[in-house]
Order: sequence, then C-alpha cells, then structure tokens
Amino acid sequence: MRVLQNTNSLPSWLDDETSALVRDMIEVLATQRSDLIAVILYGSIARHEERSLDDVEPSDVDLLLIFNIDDPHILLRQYTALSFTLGEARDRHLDAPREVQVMFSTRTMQEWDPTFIEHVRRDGIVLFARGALPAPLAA
Amino acid sequence: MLAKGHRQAAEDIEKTVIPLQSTPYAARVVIEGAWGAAFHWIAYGCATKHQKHQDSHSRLGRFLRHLGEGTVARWWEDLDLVRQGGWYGNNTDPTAAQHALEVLEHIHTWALS
Repeated sequence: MRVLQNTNSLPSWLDDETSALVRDMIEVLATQRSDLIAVILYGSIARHEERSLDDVEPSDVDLLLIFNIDDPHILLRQYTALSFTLGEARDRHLDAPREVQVMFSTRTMQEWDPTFIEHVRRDGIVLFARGALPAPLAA
Repeated sequence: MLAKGHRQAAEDIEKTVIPLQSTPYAARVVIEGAWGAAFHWIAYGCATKHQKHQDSHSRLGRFLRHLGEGTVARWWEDLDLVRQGGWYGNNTDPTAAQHALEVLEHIHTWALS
C-alpha cells in the first residue's frame, strides 16, 4: 500500500476540482472527528484504470474512511452525522466532475468481506493516517 | 415516470418491506427496499416542489444540491452507505435495516411536506 505524505499530493491523474473536494472532505472530517484514523483511496482510480471524464459515466472516486471504533453498530449509529459532516464539503464543490463514494469502517474491519479488504490492501493509497494503519491493512 | 407513478412505487415498496423489519434474514431486502422507496420519494418530492426530477439514482446527491436540497442529499448519501454496507459488507442485521427505515421516514416526510 502506498502512503502519500499529505493530501496536497493526491494522484496526479485526478482532476483538480475532484482533488479539491477530496481534500476538503478529509480536512473537515479529520478536524471534527479525532477518531478518524485513516482515509484510503481504492478502486479504479487508485489503480489508474479509471474511466476518463469524457466517458458517459466517469469512474467514481472510492474512499474508505476508518475510525477508531471497534463495534460496527456504534459506527452505524453515526452514519447520519458523518454523512452530514461530509455534506459540508460536498456543498462547496458542486462542480467536481467525479463523484466521491465513501465507505466507513471500524478499526477491526470485521464488518467487511475479506476479499474487499484484500483489494484495498493491494491497491489502496493512504491519503490520511493518524498513527499505524489498522491490523488488517498493515499486514 | 410521472410524479404519481413515483409516489405509488414508493408506497408499494414501503408496504412490502416495513413488515419485514424484524425478520433477521430479511435485512438486505429491507435495506434495498428502503433505498428504492427513498429514491422514488425523492423523485416525487423533486417533481412536486421543483417541477423536475431524475429518473436515475446516478449522481442524485449532486442533483439535489443543485436544487438547494442539501439535507435530502445527505439523507440519501446516508442511506446509500447503509446499502453498500449491506451488499459488500456484513451490515445486514436488524440494526442496519432499522437505520435504513429511519432515514427513509425522513425522506418520506420531506416528500409530502
């Protein structure tokens, strides 16, 4: 897994406006949530196999947001608050040409299928990290 | 689809999935149904409030924000997260289904307000 030094160095193949949205989402969440421990870009854009902006359906940006929470039910109860926090950033970047899809995860990642975790571990790019990565991704 | 059709679809799906909410193995169906009903309520609400709507869920959050419906966009994104957790993860228990139905209720109320 690759680790970027900071969110100003998002992949060069990601357009400026979408990059600005991703940076804003990470900043607003990292500021408001001290339990955010990692943000990982995965999927076609991380692999640089994305559909271009000229495509009828350009590839989305896929982000996995990992929190210092163990119980998936506790995290689930925070989905609405988290969606509203991320919405602040989305509101500011209405012209970003790519959609940004997020997934939330506990530190244990027990709620996710092992195949999904393996794909993230193999292809992911760490955009933000506070401390060590969760064990399932650090292996 | 006309607004009336979207409302009918939303009501039909709600009537189907709400009785299943306490059935553990039905959580995925309830979440999918809540998501589908929410989509139809959003189409109905947009058509009646803004005289336009989307017949596709693609980029629906963005569409809602352009209409000034940022709160509905956040509810939709919340529900979309639960749905993805249901399909690709293990968030398939009654807690997740209940959360999906609570978000659906917000969207339903907005659509008829």
